[in-house]
Amino acid sequence: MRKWLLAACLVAGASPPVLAQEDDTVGAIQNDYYSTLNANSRKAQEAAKKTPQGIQLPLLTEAELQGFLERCWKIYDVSAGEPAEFEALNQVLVLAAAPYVQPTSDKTLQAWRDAAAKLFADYLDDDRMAALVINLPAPAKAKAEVDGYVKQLAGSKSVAVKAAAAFKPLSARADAAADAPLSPEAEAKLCADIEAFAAQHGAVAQVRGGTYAEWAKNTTHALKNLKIGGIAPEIEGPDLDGVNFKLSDYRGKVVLLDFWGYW
Amino acid sequence: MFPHERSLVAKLKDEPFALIGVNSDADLAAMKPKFKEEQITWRSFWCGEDATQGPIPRAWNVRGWPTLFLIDHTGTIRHKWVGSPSEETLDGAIDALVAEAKAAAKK
Repeated sequence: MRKWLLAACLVAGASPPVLAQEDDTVGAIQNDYYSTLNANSRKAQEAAKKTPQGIQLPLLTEAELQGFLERCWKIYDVSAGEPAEFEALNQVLVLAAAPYVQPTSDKTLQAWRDAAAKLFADYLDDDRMAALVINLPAPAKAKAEVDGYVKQLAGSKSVAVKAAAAFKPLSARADAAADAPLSPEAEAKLCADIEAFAAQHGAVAQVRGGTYAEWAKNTTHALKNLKIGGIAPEIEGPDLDGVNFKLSDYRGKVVLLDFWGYW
Repeated sequence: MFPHERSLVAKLKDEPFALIGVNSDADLAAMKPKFKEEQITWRSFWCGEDATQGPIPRAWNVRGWPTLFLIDHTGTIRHKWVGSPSEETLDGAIDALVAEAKAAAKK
């Protein structure tokens, strides 16, 4: 029924209904959200066919976005202390950070701020905050506030959350260093910071699998041995016909080393 | 990517240049006929059945495909691209390093 209603409103070009039904769930909001994006995308494609150089239809309108945000808040209001409360707040962050409605309106920005403030106050010690903080979705206008929130998590009683909060800025520095090589001093500092992090949080399971100790080992290795200007590590192994060869066989030639797959 | 790689290999066949692949297909036997179709003639290491999680991608910290490293004649890593670079970018970088390699060989 809900989906049918939404579809009918879309066809009529009206804003989506704000559904106060008690059976509304975050999962249903997600489904309706993606259906709306798909439907709007199809409409945009058809419009583009008719007027090749003409108008660009948005994938999501401000009214549609506000409708989805309101449904999240309705769930939040009736689910105190239940898993749905956290999910609803998380969904507000995701919706507010999505790039489809630009620029982000004051109303959307306020929704993000309200949800973030509640999450970081009420769920500081909750393990679920670990996964949330790693990919903390935020609209461009709120990016400056993210660092402050991440710092708050250092005071969490959850081991996973504390580790994730320390990991986030460190992994950003390591990613940046992979693109633009560091000075020897900056590299030594980063490696020392990674080692200190691993000493404290190494045993904790990483949100994306493996432990933080493994991440630290791989990242330090990459910083030291895979940087631009460093000597390429040796590769030795069979080619596709099973004949062994070495990367260093090609010393004296320029080598384009291509990590590829046909899939 | 394959058509440009084929043309690179053909264009630079008399130059101090080699295209070396690191193939991350898990089922090599099933894929081999496709490689022939695509005329993938350059030599590749194989990552093994663990494919993208195999020892070579792990040692090289590769987490996106394709990833390209351009290594000069001394074995020094000079460029890295995650995702395909534009043909101009790639060709320009290779040409510059091939010129360096030839100048070094003359000395």
